[in-house]
Amino acid sequence: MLTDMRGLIGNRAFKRWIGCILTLVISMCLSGCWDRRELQERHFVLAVAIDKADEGLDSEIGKDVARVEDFVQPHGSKRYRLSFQILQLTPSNSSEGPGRGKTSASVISTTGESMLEMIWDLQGQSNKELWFDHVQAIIISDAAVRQGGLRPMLDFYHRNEEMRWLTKVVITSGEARKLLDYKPPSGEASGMFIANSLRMYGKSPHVPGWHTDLGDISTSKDNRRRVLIPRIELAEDVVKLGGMAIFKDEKLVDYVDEYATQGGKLMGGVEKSAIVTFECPEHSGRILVFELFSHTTKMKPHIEGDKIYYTLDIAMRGNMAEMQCRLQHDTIESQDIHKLEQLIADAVKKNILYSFHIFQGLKVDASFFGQKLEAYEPQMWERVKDHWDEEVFPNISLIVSVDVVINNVGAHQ
Amino acid sequence: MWKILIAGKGGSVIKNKKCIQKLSKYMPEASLAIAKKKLEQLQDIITQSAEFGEEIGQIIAQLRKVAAPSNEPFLFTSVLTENEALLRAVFRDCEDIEFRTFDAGNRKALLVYLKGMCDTSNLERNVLKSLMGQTSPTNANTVNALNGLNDMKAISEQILGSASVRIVKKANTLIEAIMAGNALLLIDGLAEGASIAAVKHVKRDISAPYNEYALQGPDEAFNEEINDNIALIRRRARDTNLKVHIMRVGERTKTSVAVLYVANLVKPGLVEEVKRRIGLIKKDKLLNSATIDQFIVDHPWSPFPQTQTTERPDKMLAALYEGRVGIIVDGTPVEILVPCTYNVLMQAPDDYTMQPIVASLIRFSRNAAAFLAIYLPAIYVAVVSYHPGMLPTTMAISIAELRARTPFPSFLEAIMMEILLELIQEAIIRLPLKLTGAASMIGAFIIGNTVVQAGLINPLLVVVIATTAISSYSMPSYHFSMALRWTRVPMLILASMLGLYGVILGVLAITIHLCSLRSFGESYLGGMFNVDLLSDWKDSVVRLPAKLLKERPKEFGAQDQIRIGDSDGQSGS
Repeated sequence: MLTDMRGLIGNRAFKRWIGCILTLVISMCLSGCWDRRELQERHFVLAVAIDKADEGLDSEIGKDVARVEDFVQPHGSKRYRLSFQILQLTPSNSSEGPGRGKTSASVISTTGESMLEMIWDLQGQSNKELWFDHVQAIIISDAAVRQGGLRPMLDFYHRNEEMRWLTKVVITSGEARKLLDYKPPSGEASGMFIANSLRMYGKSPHVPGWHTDLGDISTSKDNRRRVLIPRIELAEDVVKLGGMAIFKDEKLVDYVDEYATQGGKLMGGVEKSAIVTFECPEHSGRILVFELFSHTTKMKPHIEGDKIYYTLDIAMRGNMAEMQCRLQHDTIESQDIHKLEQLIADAVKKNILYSFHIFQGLKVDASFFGQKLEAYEPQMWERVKDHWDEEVFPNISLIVSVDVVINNVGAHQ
Repeated sequence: MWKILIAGKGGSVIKNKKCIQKLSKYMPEASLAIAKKKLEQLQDIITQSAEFGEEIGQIIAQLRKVAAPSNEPFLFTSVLTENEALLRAVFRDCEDIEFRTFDAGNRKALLVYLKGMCDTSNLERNVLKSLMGQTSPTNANTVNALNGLNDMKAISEQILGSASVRIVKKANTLIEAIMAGNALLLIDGLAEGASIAAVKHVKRDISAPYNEYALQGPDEAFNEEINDNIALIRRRARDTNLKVHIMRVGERTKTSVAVLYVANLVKPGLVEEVKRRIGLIKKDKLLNSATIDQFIVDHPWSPFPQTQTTERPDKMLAALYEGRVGIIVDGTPVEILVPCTYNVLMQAPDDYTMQPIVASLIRFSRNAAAFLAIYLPAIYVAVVSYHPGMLPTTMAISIAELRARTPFPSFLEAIMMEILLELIQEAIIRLPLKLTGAASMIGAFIIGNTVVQAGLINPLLVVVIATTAISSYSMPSYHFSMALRWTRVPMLILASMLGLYGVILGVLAITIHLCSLRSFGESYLGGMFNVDLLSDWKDSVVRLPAKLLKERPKEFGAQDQIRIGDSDGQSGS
């Protein structure tokens, strides 16, 4: 046995094997050194808020705090105030189970111009490495956007490999940091709260959910298209999503209201459900509500000479969700049903044209009319693409035809 | 070293010197050199006396030597007393051997057998009675008859009542026959012996399988007796094509090893290869089939079993009719089937008694379990320590909160848990049956509760390791589940060093190893992914109804692929 082993060790091939294995083992030990960081040794950044540097620093205490947070920077000025919402781990007792959906978070912030410089400085306020894989929302303030456009604020997040494509971006007219301090009643961190409520855009027609995530913003920006960012507002302890901000060439153009947002979603066919309200023609002041279940939407450009017009064909199915006037319009008689369907179609048309005219007025092609033209009429697109937003889009016409079918007919006495 | 601390009373001489001195300074006979010399002398004496012993042995052998060919201990003579003396010399100091001399007719006869291995009542009835009956004075005619018979053949044909009698001239064969439990009959005047089969020794009854229990299926299992084991197979198939070839392995034990195959099914060359490899085994003793296994496999260093072991005769018969070869080893209730691939290790007897659609689902979950049993802890460690970004946020947060209390990095945690699990498993296997309950309860209590409460290990890891353990238990083959247990640890180390990259490297390494592993020429895992063998999926990935299993697995290259309407099976050969 022993001599066998000796023979084995003396063997050249065996020596070579041992050499290979040793080299592998040693190199493996090396690679573990710089990338291995346990889950609990990282600081989860759940949300990022970007404000103007001097926002919310009115009080004496605020100024003191700002002095501590500050750092000396060789280049640039103090333009932005960057705040992170950081998850604080509460070691769970095994008998209680982890977290129970409650998370506690703290907020740290600093001022500066370069995002990365600020992040590195923020490590000075943290005991673990800041880690961006699970950033849920980036909240930017109106004032900060008006200061220098989108690029200086979001460019870092587009480039950083730790960021995720589906990170939500929202804009607020007030101070963004306050949203990080906001404590939702559910107990989760506000960053997760905002991201989760944005994810429900399918249920809420007033929230623009289509192509508004960080990755979509990046591609829209790179293709020099408009950027849509959902709007969020905070007052006292009420947080509300609704409406959106429209950006063109990285500059804020304007905010549009919830009704226009819904119209835009109907135009783009991206809504999963919507409600259409209209006034009862026979009882003035009474409201009827149609709830949309499913739809087929097809938008197509047409050319007549030099004139471009679009047709938008929408087929909708849904039911009557609410009828505030009695009897006459209940869905029993097919005649009545057809009448109702006509009214709904008119209301949808009205909504779409409302948004369409707003977008035309802002000279922003918010619902991809240009892309449709490029797809269906490439030659025409080549001719008009350079002055599309400024001259062509505001003058095109949209012919909307809506076909509504009411399901679930019946009446309540 | 012979150093001693001299202090106190002996210290007067060396008061002003170092306290530690060599003992040999004061006692010259204790010096190392002298001790070495004495030891060498002693060794010389021992070697010399061993040589003397050997020489004396050789002299005795020469003195005993009789005229015989080189490979035989002696030649039988026609003088019974001489034969007896020769036999007694061979069986000296074997006190369990019985020499029974008696009169058969007018001649002396001798019956030699091992006491515990022979059926004495059988010998009395069929040999002693019929031969000694010849001497009775009332039976004058037959006396003449016996006297007239001058060879053993005639005696065995006309007088002996035993079922199996073999006439043997060679002493070696006869001695071997006696050691196997046969009785040897020698008659004065005849230079040959008769080996009478009357083997009867203590053995276990056929019992239910200990380790391969089936819910619905035959409950007979192999036991230690090779003839019983072959009978268990024979009884299930009345087929002359089912061949049994018996070989002897072990230079001293000369254990019987039977190679079973179906002559008109088995892949050409396979039986010859199996016989060749068994024939090459050089070993003094053969105590169990695992030894054979290690000698005949292609890659003895692989953790994966390359022969299938079974204690179920029905399983062996099913394998034989797929064109495989069975090896039954005397003295072992666990027998061997070759070739062995991943597919056959994943088949359990219960698969064939269940509804096919249920069995297919179970097959699937068994494959998934095999995957989990190797990779799950590694994936856990890789994700937790390198790629927490892959987890959904809420899950990442809850895992982080679980982990916040435990002081160890996830790798150490996992290794600790693995060691704990292995210890408990080992303890439960080694302990007497009555204590295993206590051990498993302590184990369950430690793993399930206390380790977590003590904050040493987080509950999620307990779930991961427990899932892994349960997965490896669900393998139909114990050896395969041991292999999974073995591969788990290197995977864990890879994951802790290189993260998911390491896990993928490990997956590649294991897959490549399994695909390149050959068991008697068949790829271990490769058959599963071979497009030509896609039709084998009918009884590997899924299990189709018996009606649709018309063909034998192509994998084993059976000569006749068609199972149903198989004319060769009836005609014989």
